[in-house]
Amino acid sequence: MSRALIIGVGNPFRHDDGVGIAAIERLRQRGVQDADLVEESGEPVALVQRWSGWERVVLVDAVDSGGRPGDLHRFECVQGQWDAAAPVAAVSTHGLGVAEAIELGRALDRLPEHLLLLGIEAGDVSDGVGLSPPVEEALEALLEDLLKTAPGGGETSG
Amino acid sequence: MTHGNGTRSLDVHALTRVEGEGALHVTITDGELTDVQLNIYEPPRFFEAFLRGRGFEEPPDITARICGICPVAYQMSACLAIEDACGAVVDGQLGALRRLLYCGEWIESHALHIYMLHAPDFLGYDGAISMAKDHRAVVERGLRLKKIGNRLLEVIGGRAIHPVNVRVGGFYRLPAPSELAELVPELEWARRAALETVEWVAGFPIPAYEGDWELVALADGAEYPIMGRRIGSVSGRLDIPVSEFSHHIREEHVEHSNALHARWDGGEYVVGPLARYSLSHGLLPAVARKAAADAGLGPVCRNPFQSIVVRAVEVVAACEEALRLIAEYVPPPAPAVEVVPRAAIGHGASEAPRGLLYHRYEIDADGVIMAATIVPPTSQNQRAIEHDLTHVVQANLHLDDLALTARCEHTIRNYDPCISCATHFLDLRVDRVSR
Repeated sequence: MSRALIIGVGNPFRHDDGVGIAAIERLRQRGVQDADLVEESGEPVALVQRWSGWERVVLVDAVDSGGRPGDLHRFECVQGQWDAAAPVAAVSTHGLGVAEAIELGRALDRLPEHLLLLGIEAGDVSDGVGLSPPVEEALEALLEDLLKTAPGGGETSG
Repeated sequence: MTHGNGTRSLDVHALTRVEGEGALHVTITDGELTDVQLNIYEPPRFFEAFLRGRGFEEPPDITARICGICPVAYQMSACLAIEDACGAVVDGQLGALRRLLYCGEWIESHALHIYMLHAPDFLGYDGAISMAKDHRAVVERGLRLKKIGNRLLEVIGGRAIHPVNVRVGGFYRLPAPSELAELVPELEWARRAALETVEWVAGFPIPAYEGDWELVALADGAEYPIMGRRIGSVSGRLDIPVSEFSHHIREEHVEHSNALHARWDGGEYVVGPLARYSLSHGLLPAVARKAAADAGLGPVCRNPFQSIVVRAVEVVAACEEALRLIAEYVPPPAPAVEVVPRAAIGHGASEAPRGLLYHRYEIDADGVIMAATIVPPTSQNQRAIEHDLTHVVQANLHLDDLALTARCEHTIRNYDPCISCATHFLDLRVDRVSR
C-alpha cells in the first residue's frame, strides 16, 4: 500500500478547532513511520497544493454539524466520489476550506485517488488553547482508528 | 430581502469560519443609502492577553498562528519589536535572509489573492472554482507562482505554514547557499510569470474610483518597504519612527462593531499595496517599475480596484529581490545574534502583504512579557472599506441583491482583508423601506 499523507487542519488557539493539529502532534510523538504528517490552517488552495501528487490522503479536522461534542465522523472520497452524501461543507469548522479544496481539486484534476476525512465534533471553538474533555477523549479513539484502518496506518514505533 | 414597506437593508454575514467573523449591514430608506456598518475583522485581542506572562522569545511562534496566510509578517514584526526592546540589531546577511523569507510570503499571498480570490470578481465568476473551469492554464500559472513562494518559506522558514526556523535574533539554522541556488530556475520562471500577471490584470475592467484617505506605509527610503523603522504618508504629513505609532494612530471602538477602527491624528488612512507603491514606487527594482508604467500606473495610485495591478507589480519586485538576495547570499557567521532581555518597551513593524503590521511589547528584566499590542492591517483598513462600500452601494442601488452582494464583496476584497481566504464570506440580506 502506498505511503499516506495525513493532514491535520485547524487552529490550536481556538480550543477544539485545534484537534487536527493535536492529532498530528500525537502521531509524531508516537513515531508514525509510514505516513507523512503535516499541519494546515484550512486555506483551500494550500490544501490542494499540499495533497497534489499524493494518492492516499487523510484529513483530520474539527467539525460542527450540530451533534454532540466528541462525535466522530468519517467520510471517504474515492476517485472523486463520496461514500455517502457527505455534507462536508456543512460540517467542517473549516467547511469552506475543505469543501472548496475538494471542488477546486476536482476542477484542476488534483484530487487524491483516495481521500479520507476524519472529523471530531467540536464543542468549544472560542479563543484559547486546549481541547474540551469530550473532544480530548474522542481524539484518542480517532487516533486508534486511524492507526488501525487508515491507508498506510498500522505500523508504529516508539 | 425587499420588504413591502420599502426599507431595503443589506445584512451581509460571514460564513461560519472560526478564523474571523464578518458582517455588513446596509440600510436604504426611500431609495437613499442611510447606513453602512461593517464588522469584518476581530483584532487579535486574545493573543495580546495570552502573551502576557510568557517569555520574550515566544511571540514569533505564537503570533504566527494569528494568520494562516501571513505567518512571516507576524513573526517579523514580533522579532523586530522584541529586538528593539532588548537593544539587539539583526542586519547584514541575517537581515537579508529575513527579507528573502518575507519575499516568499509576498509571492505566496499575493498570488493567492490575485488569482484565486480577486480575479474572479473582475472576470464575472463567483469564485476560483468556476474560473478554473474556463481558465485552467491561467489558474495553473497562479498556483505555480504561489508554490515558489511556499518553497522559499520551506527552505528558509523550515515549513510553509507557521515557519519553525524563525527566532528572536535570527534563525535556528541557516540555509546552505546550494539550497537557495536550487530555487533560482523556478524564481526566474516566476519573474516571467509575474510580468505576464501584470499584463493580464492590467487588462481587467477596472472601475473608476479614488479614495481620498491618507496612504500610510513603512518608508525608510533605502529599499522598497518590507521591514523598517520609519512610517510615512503620501502627503508627507505623517513621518514618524515606528516607536511613535501609538502616539499618532489610535484604535477606537465603534458602536456597531466588536472590532476597533483605526484613525491617525490627521483622519482616515489606509495601509497596503497602494500605500507602499505610492510612497516608494521609485525604489522598485527597474523591471517592476517598468511593468508598472507599462500597466498604466502613475506615481500615486488611489484606486483600490487597481490594487490587483499593484499586487502583481509587487510580485515582480519580490521575485527580482529574491533572485538578487540569493545571488548575494553568503552565510553569516552565526544563525542568530544574541538577544539579552532587559526591562524595556520595544516596537516593530513590517509590511504584511495586506499592509503595515505593528507590534509592541513591554518586557521585564527577566524577559517576561508584561504587555503586548498587535495592530493588524485589516483593522486599520476597516474604516476605508466602510467608506468605499458607502460609495459603491450608493452608486449601485439599482442592482438586485445578488449583484449588489457581489459588488460589495469585490469592494471588500480590494483590501485583501485577513478573512479573505473565504471566497464567499458575505451573505446578503436586503431591506428597502419607504416612509
